[in-house]
Amino acid sequence: MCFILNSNVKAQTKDTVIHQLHEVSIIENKQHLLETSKKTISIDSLTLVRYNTSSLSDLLSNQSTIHVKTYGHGNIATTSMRGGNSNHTAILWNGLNIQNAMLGQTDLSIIPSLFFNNVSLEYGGGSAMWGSGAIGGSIRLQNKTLFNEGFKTNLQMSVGSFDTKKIAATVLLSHKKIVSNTKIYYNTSENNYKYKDTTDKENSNKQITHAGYTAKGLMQELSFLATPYQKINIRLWYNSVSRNIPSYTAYASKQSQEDENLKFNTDWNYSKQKINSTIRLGYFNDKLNYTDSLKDIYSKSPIRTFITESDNIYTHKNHTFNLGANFTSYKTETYSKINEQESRDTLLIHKINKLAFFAAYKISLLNSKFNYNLSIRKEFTNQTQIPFTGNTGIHYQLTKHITAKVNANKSYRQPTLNDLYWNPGGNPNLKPEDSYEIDGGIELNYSKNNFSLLIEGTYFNRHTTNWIIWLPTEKSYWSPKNVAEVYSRGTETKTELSYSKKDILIKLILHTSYVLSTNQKATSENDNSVGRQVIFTPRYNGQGTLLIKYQNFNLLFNNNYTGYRFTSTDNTSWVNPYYIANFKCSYNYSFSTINTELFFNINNLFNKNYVIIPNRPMPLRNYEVGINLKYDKKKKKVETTIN
Amino acid sequence: MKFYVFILIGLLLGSCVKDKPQEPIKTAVSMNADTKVLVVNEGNFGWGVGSISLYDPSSGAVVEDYYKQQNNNATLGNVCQSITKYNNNYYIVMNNSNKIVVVNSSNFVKTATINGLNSPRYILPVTYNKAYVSDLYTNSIQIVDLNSNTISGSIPCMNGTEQMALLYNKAFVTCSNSNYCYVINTMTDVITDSIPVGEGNSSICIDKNSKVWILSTGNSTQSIAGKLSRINPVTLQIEQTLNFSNTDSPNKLCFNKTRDTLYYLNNGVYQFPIISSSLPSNPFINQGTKLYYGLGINPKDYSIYVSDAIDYVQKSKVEIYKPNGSFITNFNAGIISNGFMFE
Repeated sequence: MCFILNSNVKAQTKDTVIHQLHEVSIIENKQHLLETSKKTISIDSLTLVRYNTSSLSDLLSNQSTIHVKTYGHGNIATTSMRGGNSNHTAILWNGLNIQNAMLGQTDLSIIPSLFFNNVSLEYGGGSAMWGSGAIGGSIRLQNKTLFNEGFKTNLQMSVGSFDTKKIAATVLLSHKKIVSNTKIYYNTSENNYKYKDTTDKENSNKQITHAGYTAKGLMQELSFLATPYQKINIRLWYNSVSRNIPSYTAYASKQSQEDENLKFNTDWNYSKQKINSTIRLGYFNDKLNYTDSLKDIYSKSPIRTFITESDNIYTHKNHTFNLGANFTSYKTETYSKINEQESRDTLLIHKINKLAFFAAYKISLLNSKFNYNLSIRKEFTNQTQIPFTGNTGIHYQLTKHITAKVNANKSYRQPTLNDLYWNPGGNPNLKPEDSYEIDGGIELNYSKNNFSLLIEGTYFNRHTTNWIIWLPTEKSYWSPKNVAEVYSRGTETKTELSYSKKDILIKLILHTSYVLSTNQKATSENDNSVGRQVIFTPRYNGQGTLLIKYQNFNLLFNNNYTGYRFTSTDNTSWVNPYYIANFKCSYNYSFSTINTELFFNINNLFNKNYVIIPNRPMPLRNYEVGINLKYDKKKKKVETTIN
Repeated sequence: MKFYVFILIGLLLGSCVKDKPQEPIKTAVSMNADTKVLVVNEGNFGWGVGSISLYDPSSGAVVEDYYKQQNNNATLGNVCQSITKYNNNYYIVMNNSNKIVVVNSSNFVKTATINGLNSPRYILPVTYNKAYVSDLYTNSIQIVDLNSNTISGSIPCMNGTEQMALLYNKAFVTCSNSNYCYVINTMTDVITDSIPVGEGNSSICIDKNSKVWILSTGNSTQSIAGKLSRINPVTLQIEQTLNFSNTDSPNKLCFNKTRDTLYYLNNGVYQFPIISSSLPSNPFINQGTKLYYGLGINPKDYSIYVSDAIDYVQKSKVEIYKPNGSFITNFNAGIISNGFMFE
């Protein structure tokens, strides 16, 4: 990670073409302490820009080895990292976990990439930093403030296949001491794509119907430098998505879902000499309304989350200390109505409060070549006992070009509100899931003249116990139990090769992951799932992206491969692997102060027919063409404030 | 430097397994064998993996997806609920695919599809080429013309209709969403009566004395007890009611060949002679940690077939027991086996 930063800084001084690569590292404090010993991947900023019109689901499925489980394009998309479930990935927005505590997962298909200027992934357990749910890894979404950038505005419009229309605008007002950044978007699509039904020989050419969606949202950021040492950030995120859920069979019922998310996050940071203190506040109001016309189901699941956190860092010579506390409160009011004539309405109100204390220590020796960190976190809740969690790691720069990392952590996942209180079947006596993980990696870094090369190989090994699964009971309903034990291990590689000279930049990024995640315990006498791969978890995943920037021309060519995923716990049925390529290009042209960018994207370039989840077809080749008008009134160059 | 490169390569290549899973070995089971058992496998909801397995008790051979094998790898569809034989056809009711697939009984090749249904559960042929189809979500029973394989009409009825039985030009229709079983006059296609047999009534059998037995599951979450009721098909009076405990969830009522002993599932297999005046307190076959989901009695040898759906996400294990309850053998069928048809 630190090496990428280095090379970027180098590139920056060389040429202004690569100006976009520049990063201002206002990173979450805790993360700063520990991330050096963990595997992290930051989505290249040149790449991120190319996904401005896409959702996080598209971005992460194309640009990382995270397995994104998509129930058809535009439909619910969840993640699997390092052989975990969707509820084993923490999703962090400026350091606050935004996972829906009721479902234990977040739908990535409704989060626009446009909202963030930094997206990075942290592999492996991170409960010591992030609390519940960070078992397989964490996705970090950040709004990094850029002071003194002047006035920048941007209007982006595109049209695409399946009657898709997208419009977005951003306005950045950036002064020395105050910044306002506004991003708004509106997308609409019929999403009625064609696909090939391989199971229906007579009539294989089919089209998805009742799949349209409308999405709109706003991200407003405000930042102030109150004094040279104090900074205040305020961010407001509003998102509203209304979509029809297609029926892939002849099922006649009309299903639809409406999501409305209001997220508010503010932080105050004080940083002077040895002390760096942050207070964060978060308030999230997430609504999910689901309707099924034929079954007469009207379900509303609002959840409100309140988070407050104090995070303090003290540095003394080569020692760094971190101490903090976090209070999180969730409140849900689930309302569902089944069969109006029978009026089996249910209204359930549940509240969970959590209080956490965390501490961390880092020491740097041998001219910062050797770094050791240790952190612990203890949580208390009104619901269940939560164990101590911890992380310890070493980051050692062995030679000029080689760095080794070793990390061990204990993480956990609290049962979701549905696991605890779903009616019928919820089990209030569930314990949290526990995981123990070690991982280690070696990173080679080499740069000469205009070339730079980075290769990283990582191995991880994780045992998760008390893994919660829903099992049928002797009654007519299902109930969750802490029964499964899952052993996940595997290797991951990251390779980045770049060449930059004058007005050309060529970058090749390759990620691979190989994950064995097997069930270790039988739940009943005839259970044949022991030693078998956990369902919907690919063993092989690889992804390569070629980026070329030449003068005013940008090109991105992306390739993804995902191996077999099993659909039954005894591994006797599966879905086939898929290989998908995407092509994106753009051309910039300036008329006086207005910069015009024309872009053209081809998704699924080779027209592959594939599914990620059985019976949920994905679109064949499709296109998007658009224009991006930028107005940029730069201030005189002054040193950017780095916090 | 070299040393680290080797470690790196080692990490990349270490302990890889072959990704391509092994295809199941195809076995030949003749549909014309003297004895054969068809197993109805629901498959996971929404995944389109409903199937029919074919089992030959004499050789122990199994074809896991018989329809796929006989129909050029075509799949049946989503949630296979039931199979019924009529004339020379099998009618396979695909609940979530909203259709009934008609196959030739000699070679299992598809001959027709009955479309336009909502959430079909069972089909009951009532008079010459006329059948009723029960439905989970529609407020009617569909009338199907078996000549043209089309819907010819409907009978308004509460939704949640399940198994049906025919006797004396009366169709008895169970209904899991109501406390009543409905009686349809098959000549006029009109509901003439309803019988209060209890909440969650869904399985029905006719005994050797032409009495109708209906099993109601009850609702254990609302502490409503299940019931086993005997009905006089002429007077439509309930002659006998046996109550379960309100924590029980009895289901899957079926008869032996002589139709004098009932079997059902209730966290184990229970046996109930129709002359008995009280419900058995102990299971005939213990369930243990298993999850019994489908039940059937082979009329050939009185052997008891019971399926363990395990976790609903892997192949079911079908267990075969002797009439005295001792274990004979088991085999793997498709995912979520819910019932059997014996030939």
